Amino acid sequence: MNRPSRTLSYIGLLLLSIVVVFTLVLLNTVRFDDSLRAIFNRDHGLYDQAFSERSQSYLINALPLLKEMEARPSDMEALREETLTQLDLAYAYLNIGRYIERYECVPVSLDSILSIRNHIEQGHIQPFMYDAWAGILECYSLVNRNQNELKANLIERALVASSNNQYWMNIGVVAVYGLGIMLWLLLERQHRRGHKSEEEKLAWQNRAMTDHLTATYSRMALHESLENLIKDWPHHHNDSIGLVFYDLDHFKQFNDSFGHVAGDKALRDVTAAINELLPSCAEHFRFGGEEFFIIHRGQSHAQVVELADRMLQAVRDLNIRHPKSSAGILTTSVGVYMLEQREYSVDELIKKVDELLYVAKKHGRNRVVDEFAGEEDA
Amino acid sequence: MKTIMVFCCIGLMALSSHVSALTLVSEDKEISLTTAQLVEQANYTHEMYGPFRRQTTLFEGFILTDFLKQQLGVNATSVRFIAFDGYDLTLNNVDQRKLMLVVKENGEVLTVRNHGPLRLIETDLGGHDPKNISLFDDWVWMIKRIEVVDE
Repeated sequence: MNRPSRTLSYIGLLLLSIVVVFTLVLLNTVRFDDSLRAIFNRDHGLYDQAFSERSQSYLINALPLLKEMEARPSDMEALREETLTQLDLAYAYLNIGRYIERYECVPVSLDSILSIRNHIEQGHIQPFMYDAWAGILECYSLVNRNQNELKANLIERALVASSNNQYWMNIGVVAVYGLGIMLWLLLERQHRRGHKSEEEKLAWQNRAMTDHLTATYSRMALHESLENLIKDWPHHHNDSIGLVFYDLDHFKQFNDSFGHVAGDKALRDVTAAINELLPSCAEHFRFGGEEFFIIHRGQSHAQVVELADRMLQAVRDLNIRHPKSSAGILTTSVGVYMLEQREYSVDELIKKVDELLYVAKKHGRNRVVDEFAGEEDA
Repeated sequence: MKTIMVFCCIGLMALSSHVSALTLVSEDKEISLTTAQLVEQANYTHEMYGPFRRQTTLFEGFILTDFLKQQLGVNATSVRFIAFDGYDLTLNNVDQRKLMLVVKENGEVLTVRNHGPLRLIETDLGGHDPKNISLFDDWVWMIKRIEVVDE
């Protein structure tokens, strides 16, 4: 059975945490919204109290007008009109569907207001309808008291809901925090593994690109460098490029005479001596066996040839004994080729400079041959 | 004596139907209409849930903008409403809302006691819950004066 991939696990965890957070937010928003609605939504009737209070105010406004009607009979009509208006307004603000549904006293009180109104409209001031007035005022008291209780109940419910919200919010915060930490740890572990893997990859690449014996670059690196070089050549950069191909003369015989350990040491000494001569812009590669390749950038033909001559001298100066060499010491042969303003292939470049090295070998070794030197000069 | 009183009451009621119920104002133009005139001219009906009645109600009256156009000859956009209880509200963009002036409710002529003689309602509730009366702040009861206040 295959294990699920790590990437899928991370995506799953991420999605899970998003779902949890989203659900919590939604849940709390809805619950909190409900709590708020319970307090502020007029549908629950909290604000209805304003209607009953206004009705009560208008009704009470009528009382001093009644007294005035008795005291000032001359203004009777105007006062009566004003009293009737106040009573109509009192009636209107109590004539609310919710009151009529919820409080049995409201329809009775509405009838009482109408009765008082008709009584006054018909010109009766006395007797004062104490029972009717008392019933209406008692009804207002009942409505206001119940509305206050309703308000208190709703606020209490909202507080309980808010407390529950707070509890679940805390649970949610802890859960999300835990998920966040877990996710971070997993990502951190993945990052470290990735980093380690990258370092190992670079180390392997370095090893593949470096010749461990001579500390020069490998043949693989040479091919890569030449490919990069010809990729842009000559259109995108036209610095002077010089290629140097050299090998150690009669090196097989040297190995046969002194053994491979001495041969390896000779290779190390020669490449170290040549490395000291090379400028920072030059790259030094081991082509294979005792053959080496150098790429010079930004140096003229004369500079590259002069450097090749100094390389010959540097190897001679090492004075490594070689009985099979005509000079009695280890020497080297060098081919130098300067790139022209045209396109090349990697194999063609190697072939060009190899041919020059061959010419140097053919003409007695221990010398430098470049493409401008004829066979006779060599 | 009782007969005389009844006669007086009938007389007063008959008289009251000719007392101005609504004043319409636009710039220098002012019109007064009685309840009887309003009821007689009502030309639009609409049935919907009446949030203050807690039941489905048949409203009769006028489309606000049509009524103002008919009475004052103006295409009103901003209108001020003044009610008998002193409530004063100005609404803008009335031409873009479905506002109705109600004079009868379930066949009964509105008086102050049932939030008349003229009431402003909104016939298109825009998907809002009609049982939630907090959404009906723009309903104006007991209108006695309407002023077109377009600039």
